[in-house]
Amino acid sequence: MSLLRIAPYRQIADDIAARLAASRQPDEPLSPWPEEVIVPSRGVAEAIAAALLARSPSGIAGLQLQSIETFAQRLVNASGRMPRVATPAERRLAMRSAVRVVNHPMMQGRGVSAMIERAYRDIRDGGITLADFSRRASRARGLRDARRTEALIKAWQEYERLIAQLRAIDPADLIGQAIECIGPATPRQLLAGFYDVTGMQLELIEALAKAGCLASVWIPSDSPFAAPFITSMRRFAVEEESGPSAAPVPERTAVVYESRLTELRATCTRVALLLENGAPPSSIGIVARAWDPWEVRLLNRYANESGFRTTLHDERPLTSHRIGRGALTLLRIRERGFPRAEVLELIRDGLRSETRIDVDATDIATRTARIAGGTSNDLAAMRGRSRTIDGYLALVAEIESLTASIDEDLLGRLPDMFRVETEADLSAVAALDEIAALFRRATVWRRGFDLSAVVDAMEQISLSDAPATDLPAIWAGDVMHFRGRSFRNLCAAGMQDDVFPQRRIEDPLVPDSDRRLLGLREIGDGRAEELLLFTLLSDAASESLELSYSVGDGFGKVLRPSRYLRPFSHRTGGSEVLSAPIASPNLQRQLQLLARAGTRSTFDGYVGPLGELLRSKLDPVSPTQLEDFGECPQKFFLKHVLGVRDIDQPEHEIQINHRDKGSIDHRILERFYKSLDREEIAQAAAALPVLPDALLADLDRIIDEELDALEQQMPPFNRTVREIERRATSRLLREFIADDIDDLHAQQLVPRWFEYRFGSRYRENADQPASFIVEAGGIPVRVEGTVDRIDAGGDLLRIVDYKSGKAARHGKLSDKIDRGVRLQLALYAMAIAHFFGAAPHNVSGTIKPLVVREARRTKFDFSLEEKHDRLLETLAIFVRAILAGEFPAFPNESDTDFNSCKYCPVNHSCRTRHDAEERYSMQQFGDPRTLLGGSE
Amino acid sequence: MSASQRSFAFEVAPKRPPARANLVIEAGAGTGKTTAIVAEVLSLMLEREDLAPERIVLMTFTEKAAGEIADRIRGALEDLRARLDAAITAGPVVWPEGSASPLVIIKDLERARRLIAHHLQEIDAIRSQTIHSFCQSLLRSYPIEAGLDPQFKIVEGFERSLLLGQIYDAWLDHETRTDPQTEHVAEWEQLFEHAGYLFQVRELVLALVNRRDLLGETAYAFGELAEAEGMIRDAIHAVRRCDETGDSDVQRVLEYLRATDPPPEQLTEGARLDAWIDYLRPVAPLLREANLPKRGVLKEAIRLLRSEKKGTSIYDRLVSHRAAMALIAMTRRFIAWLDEEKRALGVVDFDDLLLRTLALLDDPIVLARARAQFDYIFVDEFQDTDRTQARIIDRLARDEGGNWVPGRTVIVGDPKQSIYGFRRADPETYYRMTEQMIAAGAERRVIREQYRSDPPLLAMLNAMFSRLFASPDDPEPHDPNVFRPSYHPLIAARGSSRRTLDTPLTILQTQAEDRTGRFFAEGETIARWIHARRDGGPRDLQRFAVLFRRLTKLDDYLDALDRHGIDYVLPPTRSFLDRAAPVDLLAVLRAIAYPFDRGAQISAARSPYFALTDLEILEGGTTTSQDSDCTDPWTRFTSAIVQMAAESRHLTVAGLMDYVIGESGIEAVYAAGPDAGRHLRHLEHIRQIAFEYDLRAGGSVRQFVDEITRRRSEPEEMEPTLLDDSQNAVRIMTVHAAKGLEFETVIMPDLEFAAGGGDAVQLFTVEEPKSLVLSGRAESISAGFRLAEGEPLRKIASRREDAEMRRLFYVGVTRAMTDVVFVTSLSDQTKASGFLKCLYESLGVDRAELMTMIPAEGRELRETPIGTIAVERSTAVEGAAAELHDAADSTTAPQARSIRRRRLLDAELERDLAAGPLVPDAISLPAAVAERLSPSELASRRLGAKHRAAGLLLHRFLELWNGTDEVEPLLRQIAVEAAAEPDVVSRVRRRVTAVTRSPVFQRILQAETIGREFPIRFIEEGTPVERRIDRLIRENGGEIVVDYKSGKPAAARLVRDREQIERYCRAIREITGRPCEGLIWYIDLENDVVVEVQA
Ligand code: SF4
Repeated sequence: MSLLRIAPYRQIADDIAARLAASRQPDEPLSPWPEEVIVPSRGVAEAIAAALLARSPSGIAGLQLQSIETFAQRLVNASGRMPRVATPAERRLAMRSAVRVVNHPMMQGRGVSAMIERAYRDIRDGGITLADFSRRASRARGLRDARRTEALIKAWQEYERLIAQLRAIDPADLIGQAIECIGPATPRQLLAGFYDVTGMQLELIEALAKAGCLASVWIPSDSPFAAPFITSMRRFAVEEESGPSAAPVPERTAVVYESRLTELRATCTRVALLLENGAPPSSIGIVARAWDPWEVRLLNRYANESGFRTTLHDERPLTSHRIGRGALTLLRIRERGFPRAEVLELIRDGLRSETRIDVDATDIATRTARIAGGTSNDLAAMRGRSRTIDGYLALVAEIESLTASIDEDLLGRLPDMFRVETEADLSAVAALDEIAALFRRATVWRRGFDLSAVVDAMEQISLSDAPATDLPAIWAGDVMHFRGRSFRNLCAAGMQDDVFPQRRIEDPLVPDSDRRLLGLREIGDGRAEELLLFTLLSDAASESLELSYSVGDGFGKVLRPSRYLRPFSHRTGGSEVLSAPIASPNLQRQLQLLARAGTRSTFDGYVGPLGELLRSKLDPVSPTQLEDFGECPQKFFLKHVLGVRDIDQPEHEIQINHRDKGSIDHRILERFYKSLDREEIAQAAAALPVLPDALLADLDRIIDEELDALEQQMPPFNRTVREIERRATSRLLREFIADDIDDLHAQQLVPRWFEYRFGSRYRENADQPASFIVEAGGIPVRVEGTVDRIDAGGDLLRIVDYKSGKAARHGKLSDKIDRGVRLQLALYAMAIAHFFGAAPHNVSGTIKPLVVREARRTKFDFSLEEKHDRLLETLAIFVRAILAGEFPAFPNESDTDFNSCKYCPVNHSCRTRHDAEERYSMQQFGDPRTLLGGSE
Repeated sequence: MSASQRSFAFEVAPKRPPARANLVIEAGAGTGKTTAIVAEVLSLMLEREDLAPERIVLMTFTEKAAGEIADRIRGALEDLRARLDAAITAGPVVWPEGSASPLVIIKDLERARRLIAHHLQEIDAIRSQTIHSFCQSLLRSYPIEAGLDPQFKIVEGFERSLLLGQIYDAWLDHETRTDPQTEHVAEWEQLFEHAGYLFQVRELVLALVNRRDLLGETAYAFGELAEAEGMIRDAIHAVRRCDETGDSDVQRVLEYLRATDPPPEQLTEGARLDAWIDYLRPVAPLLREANLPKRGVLKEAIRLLRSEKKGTSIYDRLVSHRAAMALIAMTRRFIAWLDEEKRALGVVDFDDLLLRTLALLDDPIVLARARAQFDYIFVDEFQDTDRTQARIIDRLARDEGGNWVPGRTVIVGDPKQSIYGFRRADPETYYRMTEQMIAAGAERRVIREQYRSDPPLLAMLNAMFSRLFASPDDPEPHDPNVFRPSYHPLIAARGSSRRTLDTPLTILQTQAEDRTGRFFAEGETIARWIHARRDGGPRDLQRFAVLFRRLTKLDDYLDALDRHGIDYVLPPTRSFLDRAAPVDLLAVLRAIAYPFDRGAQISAARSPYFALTDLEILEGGTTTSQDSDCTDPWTRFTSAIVQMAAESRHLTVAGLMDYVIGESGIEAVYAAGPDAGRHLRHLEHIRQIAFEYDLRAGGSVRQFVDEITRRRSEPEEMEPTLLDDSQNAVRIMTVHAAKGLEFETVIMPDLEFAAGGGDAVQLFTVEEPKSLVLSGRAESISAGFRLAEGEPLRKIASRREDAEMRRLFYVGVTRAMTDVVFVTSLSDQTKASGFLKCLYESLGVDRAELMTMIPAEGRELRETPIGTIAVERSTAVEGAAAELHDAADSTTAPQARSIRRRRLLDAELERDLAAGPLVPDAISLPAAVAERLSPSELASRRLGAKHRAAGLLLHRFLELWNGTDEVEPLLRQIAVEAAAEPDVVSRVRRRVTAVTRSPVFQRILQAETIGREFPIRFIEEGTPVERRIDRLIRENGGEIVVDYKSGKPAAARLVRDREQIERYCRAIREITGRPCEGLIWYIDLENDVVVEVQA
């Protein structure tokens, strides 16, 4: 008869060590041990080993401290059978494949195969064969959904068939085989620290007992959850009274923190303090009911900053490693239509391509060419445009051929398609090798290549980022891995409601009501087991136990303490988000930025007078550039002094890029109006509100020609949207022209000049080769630019500026000219008055929004005469500021006032715009003109 | 005994429990709603011994409330147990203890003792949870019936908007590029025509997705063209017939209409709509601006064809309707697509939890099981439930015959506190459902005792809200479309006041120069007002709460508090991605990701990560590298970025963030500033987002930066954590966030702020006439052409908003325990909007009257229709302006209009750095993190990996073969065991013959084998370790450790391998006291090298 003893883990380890030590032949330390040990967890094994080593510090050899599964495999191997247990990846894949052949709606759902696999595992581990299960199911009445159970059985049968085809067995079968192998030669086993086992495991234990190979059983608790196991062990084991436990009672406290961040930070600080006070690393443990990956990462980061590391490793999904990501991209790129960004990303991820490209240059060139994606054939029209574009097309063609067929063969080649540089790369490649091998093995199923299964398999793989530090290691883990361990000082973190105790959810496939009918073990609510786990945890500390929880996750979510903490006294923990941050050598400079930003300092765009460098920016300068300055001097600095440009995002621009669309609209209108004379305008005006058919036909023809040309130039990725835009252009311009002709007729004006260019930079294309020189505060400034349209009638001239965006933005134009935030058009008016020798009172300007609907109600006109003096004053202020090197950022985002940031190339990352303090100090001034000293 | 004073008296062992009715409890602010619920639960527990706590469901609005109620119930039971145990007499024990009107009276103490002890054991099983978590557990129990991934994950906040954005993009691509269907494309075009841009189409669709609950309503309709068409035809008919004239624009319209025939009537609805739009298009611009003729038929006709106001026309309304219908159809398709994608990804959002649960309960088997799981359902804050939630509760509360199960349901709420319209809370549903319950026999109970406010304040609140809300005795019939709750005056349950005040209500008038100056002035006024009332006590700030309608323009207020050294706590802000810390970090990431994005480079250089001056950027950035000094700051900066970019190839996004943060020491920079906590929290948040991104998407840093930039849209409203209840600081929050909390003094500024108009479109239902209304940027016929009480249904939205504004005002004001302060900036221009309107109404005065009450200076008591209030004029602003001028320091703030907030904690350092010379930069080259292996090592390792399978198989063979048995059977057996591929097996087969003849193998065979896979344990550097020896043999009285390896023993590797085997040998020597040597055998398909390791 075996012996049964109920004792805490710590004592189990001591007892077993004493027994094993006593059983040794002192003269031959390599001789076989008369007894082996079966343990439920590594923790128990390590505790026993540690206790043994405390007795034999020189070491021990040959002792088997093993899990039930290892024991079973050894037993079966020793019999000469050597079966292969299917790997988890094989089992997952087999179940995925199995559910597909069963015709039941539930089989379509995501995650169903994993759930079916879990239910299968549970039933088989419970010691029930599939045949047995089907028998019980066919007899049972009142199952929740008998059809579903039938489908389930079919899936499981198919699964077993697939596993057999792989020439592997299920883990449950391994234990079954081991039971058959138990015999007189089986070494005697000590069962150390189980409080519950699966049905299959119980059968093995019983078989061991029957064969007289179960020497002794230790159970760590007599709590209600362990009761069934204790009862079953009592059938063949005699209980031994344990002596009174002399375990010291640790100091126990519950500590509340503001957030998970502060909690983990403080836990690490506490551990660091213990280490500092001389506690050995092995005497400290950190445990939680469960760790989510983010918490592991935080814990490790904080541990590192506190001078130690933990035994928990950060996991990094294979798909977030560049090689894993690249492999995935290659597998999917064809079905996604070869998006430009993904093609380039492949190169950046290290694809070894035959085609050599400079990836950054190609990135820019393809953006500028507005390539969003497509095959080399789709983009054929672009061939020959530049070497860079040709290189890109060659690359796409190469990737097309690489991915011509997506199958096991490609999968097998993937690992060698990417450049390998580091240890992590080697593991990524090895993981890909494994996946490829798995799918090669699965070809025996003859199911065809399933890309989603490959993706699923890849998503299951994590590469472990083991810390390469020599910092002391502190054990950290979850409660399940904790079992069997004990520490002098233990930190139990994350003691939150809903986390500990963890709520069990019954198996939706074989719910407890079905289990009852089928004679299977029920899942229950798990409360008893949770309580046992908590008790084991709290018994495992000998000196101090700190149980901590947070009242929030740090990002606004309320968290509640675990009910287990009720008996403890609670205290509030520190609220430091940061302990002792490491400064860079640049700290003083960084702090100086903080101290000075927002005070018109050198960090705020006040670069000081730089003579020629800045003067050259006014020689020449365009009205558009000056308007940029008027909105935000820093924007001028960035764009026109530092040369910052917008970065196009063709893949996100499903519509025609707004700049291209602007030019096309201008060209269409120019061509349209050029073909009309005063007479035709008068006739058209008379026919309003309907425009004469001939004119409409003309307009549509021009639109088609322009858009066809664009299509040649930049083949659209999305043709449907392009067609919608083509029709929209026609609709909007018809309305615009009707309105415009009406207006021209009323004003007695005719469009006379289009895209009127003045200034030397236009060379032979200039309508007026001279620049416009304006005296701004005594400094001559050379202005050059292009006017959209000039209307004329008698002595009158009108400068017209088309706007495609929201008309509302241009409201209160006159006022905005005075504030200096809109001065492009006024400056044009001044230039045109000069070139045409017109008196200011004969020159006016207007904005014509192309979307008439929004425009009609607001008037966007001004007369040059009214604006002239104030404009000169504004220019003087701006020119002085530019020459003095004053370029403060002026964030403003009001669409109706002026929106400086909307079209600024750094609006996503501008410091001034995003620092409340800096922004505030600017906005107090209303507009840059006032900020730079102008009157309000 | 009034309804609210009803108690539960338990007679000696009742034969059977008294029959219970369902219950609707209306509990005004501060009346102890939770106490009422606790009392109900206690009564149940004292009634029924067989009651299992898990059969009671308590649904609350927030997680916090869920926890609190559970705690309160347990606390009450424990309290009762203690008192029952201590009770010496047999007299009744009441709860709450000492209450004048106890809610529970226990007479049979013995029985109660037993029951309480029994229930306390299981009390943790009580299901106190939010309705969302209730739904979640139901869905987890029935994932298959619900069509969900059993492991579904809930996505919320930023992650949700990220996902939604990505799925939308994929759907757009599907609908327009990869699978364009004619009718779908037509809808895209119709909506595009109306919205103008695809991004606006997106905004509209996503706005409607949030009202997906209504898109499934079948009993309500959007209206059809026919409803408008008759009127249009009549108007055109009238125009065509009459001979009146208008001004020139109208005249042109008339000419057109008279000359052109309207569309025929016999077309289908869609074609007719198109035809009308085409017909009216030419005159649309004229109509929009048409001046109404003075009188006559024409005036009415043009009024209809134009609209009540200028700027729009019948054409626009029809286009809008067509777009609205397209939008609805598209959104329905998008939702179907979205559901499918979410299903494939195994995720749900909070809306899904509700909608899927409701759909799940359509399954009669599930519904029956769900009903059978609970005996009692308590719903707290029922006024804030939306219609889906209400339907879920409704289903659970009824029996299979569709009748309310008596006594099962208790609904608790305060209709006046229904303020979550933006989260779809639907007070009209509250009204309907409670009325139905009462009609079916439920008891209505109004709790009147108020425990929160001091009696003088409560008297004033009663007076105010009796004016603002309807009276319960109001004979006016209920408006089915706009819910207006009535006000039941409350009775002060507090005996005495906490503090003696001349009046509990103060109006604090500030002097603001203009609209924007208002915030500055109000901030300054509040700061001074609080400052003057500080007494130096430990809670002298904690008692104040400043409650806002919305947290806009908050900076001015915070600035003022800062200036006055007043601490405050703020709930976490939502749009944290637009805050400095995440923006700066993303700027650096962008610079790393896109070396060609000069703007990003410059932003990164300007950020505190590198802290270059603009002059340094200019000098470095405009000179070419040849003529620049290699050690200039810009070059140092770009070198650092290049190095970071090189490392980024080997890091995840989260890893890169850690690297950048670590290398730049930015945490130390933030730690030196006053906002360290906030900045660092934001930094942690963005790190978490990156980490989740790595886990879920695994994209590159470029893709991450792109995603974040594109999806910066606000994260969801979160339940605010009042992190530190003990901190002595002023609370600043929205009225919404303050719900459920109480403060001594409530200060309400920014009263003029009017809400509304935020969304692109609103979708809502109207009861009479039963309609679904889409209004806003696209309007259904029902919005503009259907009327209720003479007004188009569109207007109902604003009427509801107005009603909600009153409720919000009520919630804000009733948070107060002792006094309320309204901060105003009244002037002749002030509009009666927002809370200000509520204030006028509840005080019974208008603006002019109120302005006359304001004294020229100081504080005065004034009589108003609701009693005596204090009115105070603040001169804070002039004072502040003067001080600001005095304080303006020419070196730091030449034209400061405000005093700058402290930028560094160390004031002296800040002064020195601000005034002192420029500190030279010290940007260093970041360290490399990923160790690159040499090409030769990589090649050999890769080769080794490729041959690994064969090597392992060979090793296994060598391990098991005894030198005499037949090779093939063993080889075949181990090939199966190792799942070796056929080519591997045949290569090993070929190799075996040669290897087994090798002297090393012969030597091993000849020796005595002690063990295979032999475990040894020893202590290494103080830690016990376990190792396994491939084979331990004995030769000449000493042991030999045999270790098989694949690949070549390159020099570096050999050193490592030797060290390993030496350790094993040392351990064996220690254990046995005998000599032990090692044998490393590099044996595989290509190699056969043995290395002996001597002692
Ligand atoms: S983002 Fe705004 S404030 Fe910043 S530079 Fe651009 S325009 Fe100026």
